[in-house]
Amino acid sequence: MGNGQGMEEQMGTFQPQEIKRLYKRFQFLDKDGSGQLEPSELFDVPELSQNPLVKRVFQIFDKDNDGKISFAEFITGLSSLYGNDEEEKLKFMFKIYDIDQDGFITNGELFKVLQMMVGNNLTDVQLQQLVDRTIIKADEDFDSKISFAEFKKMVKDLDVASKLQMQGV
Amino acid sequence: MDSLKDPANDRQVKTLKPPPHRPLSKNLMFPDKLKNKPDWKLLKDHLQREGRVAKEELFKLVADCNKLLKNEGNVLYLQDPLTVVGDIHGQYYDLLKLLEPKVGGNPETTKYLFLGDFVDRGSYSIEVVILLYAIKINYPNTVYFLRGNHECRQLTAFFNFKDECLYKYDQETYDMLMDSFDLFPLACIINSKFIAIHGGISPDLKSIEDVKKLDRYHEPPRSGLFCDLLWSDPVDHDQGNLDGQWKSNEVRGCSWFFGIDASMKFLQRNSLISIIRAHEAQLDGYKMHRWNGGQDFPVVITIFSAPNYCDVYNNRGAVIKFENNTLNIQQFQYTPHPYLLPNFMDIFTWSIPFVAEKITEMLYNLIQAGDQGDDDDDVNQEDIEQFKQMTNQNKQFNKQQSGGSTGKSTEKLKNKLKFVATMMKLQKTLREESESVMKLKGACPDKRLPKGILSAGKTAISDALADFNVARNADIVNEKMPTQAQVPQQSIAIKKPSNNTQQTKKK
Repeated sequence: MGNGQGMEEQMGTFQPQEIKRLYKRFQFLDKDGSGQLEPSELFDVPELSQNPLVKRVFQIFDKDNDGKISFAEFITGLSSLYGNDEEEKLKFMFKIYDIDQDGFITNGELFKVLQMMVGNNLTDVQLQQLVDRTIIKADEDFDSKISFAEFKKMVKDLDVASKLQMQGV
Repeated sequence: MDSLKDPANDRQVKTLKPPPHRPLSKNLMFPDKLKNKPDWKLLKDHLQREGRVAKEELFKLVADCNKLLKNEGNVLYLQDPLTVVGDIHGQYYDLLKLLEPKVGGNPETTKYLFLGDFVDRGSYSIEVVILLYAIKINYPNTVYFLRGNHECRQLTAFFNFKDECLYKYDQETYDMLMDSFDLFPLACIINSKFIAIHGGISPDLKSIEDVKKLDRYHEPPRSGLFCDLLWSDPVDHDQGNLDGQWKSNEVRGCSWFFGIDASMKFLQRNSLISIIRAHEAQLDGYKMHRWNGGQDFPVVITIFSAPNYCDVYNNRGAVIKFENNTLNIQQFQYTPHPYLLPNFMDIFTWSIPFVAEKITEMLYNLIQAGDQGDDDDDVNQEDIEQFKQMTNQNKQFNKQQSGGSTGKSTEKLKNKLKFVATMMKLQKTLREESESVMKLKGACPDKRLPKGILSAGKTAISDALADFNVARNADIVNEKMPTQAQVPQQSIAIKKPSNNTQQTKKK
């Protein structure tokens, strides 16, 4: 069943039967049987091809940054969304925007992530104007980028936690 | 003023200068060299770059301008040369164009009369107010404001100026600005020949003295002379024909239409030759109501200074330039403004619902092995109730999910998955609803603009007048005075009039 040790914590979110089911699913996705999920194995899932955020989520799950998702990383990633920890979900949401995961959302990162979603609906100039304005609004310590604390303040009325509520494994 | 920095050196559009990071400091806004007056030229550029002004500085600016406004009479008397400006409606970037030497003229050397409607509809009303107040403080005897129908609590709460105040400042600031608008004069006599007001004349206006008798220092009433000066319209008829002198104005839901009879009577009685007013959008930025035929001076002149009104009307703006008793019209085109999401929404508020949906959708598809067979889940009332319950009690729901025999579990799992699919669909629908206006490029964030106006689209032959009419027809509901039921609940503090002969009016 893979790395038994690192799984102790995640067991809290998932029941044994759920872990079993997830493992089966993991194996199903792991087409080449390498024991890890490669990007193509995710992108090949038909319903995911139109989802602009697959790459972002992949990169967040891939904690050791080796370009692949192990089963441990799979379970860890899922547990933050299937669990009840509001802070975990906010962190996950933050990581979507913080591409290099250095704890700060910079101007360019915010632009890039938005561009993935906005496509051709806005020009670059328009998007840049929105990004600049958002950073100015959020940035309380005047370092021209957004920390996790500043992010939390900005989104406090959005109820991110209940929007990222996953059910049913 | 320092711009927003780029510490990671990853800002994409480097050709675009970022906005100032901080509000304009007091020292820069009120420099010693100007002895307590604001540096309007610095402000002009700062605001143009979307810089902010702190609350304290704004309060000082308005207080200083109020001193000037308060001492002006209900009726101003001005001589040419003079530039007369119509509605601006929060279109700051068009105001900048208007103030250029070749359009309205440099405020340093040009006399200006603004006919009101500085705020609402456009999203830069605060900037318009700040700049104009700063200019007036610098040129108190050559820059004048009249009150428009939008300079009041009712309309600014119904439209978007109040929202803009709450977003950029707070309730206290909004109230302070409403009190300031109460000080605006109501009419102006130009060259002893023209009367200038925002809306039009009134059955209760026999002589100019009637205006002087009004107590203007409060919220305009919903009827009567004070109201009519800000709300009435000339009748839409080439000869100004009107059965009788006054007709109820159903477009406005209040006040009157006036025609040639009422106008001539008033003008002759007061030795005037024309009525100059604003209040109605014009394709060309102006309209000459030549009710007397081509030879004589137009009985009414409408001037409108908000080009491409609401980002959709596609009209020109114009100003009147009076010189040596002649009247010239100077038109000008629309100036693009920075892009804004509706109600100044920031990127997180805008994108997070979408992001959340995409994540849940992705994980759902990832976890859910080809286990389909389910019929298409339409969102129905039951699902909505369940969704509501879920978001209210999601922790409890979670605890319930484990346990039970394997047989039951499979069924439970299936149902839960079905539910998740439905939930995602609902989220999607909700998100699409709120985004429908945003998807349209450059759409005006005015919350009152009917959504259909944009899907009506441009006419096939790109006829400017047809486009203008499409916009106007769709938007005409917004020319009406909001009913008392429509105006959001708010307390309107009614001040006792200073010359206290009148009773306070019931709102």
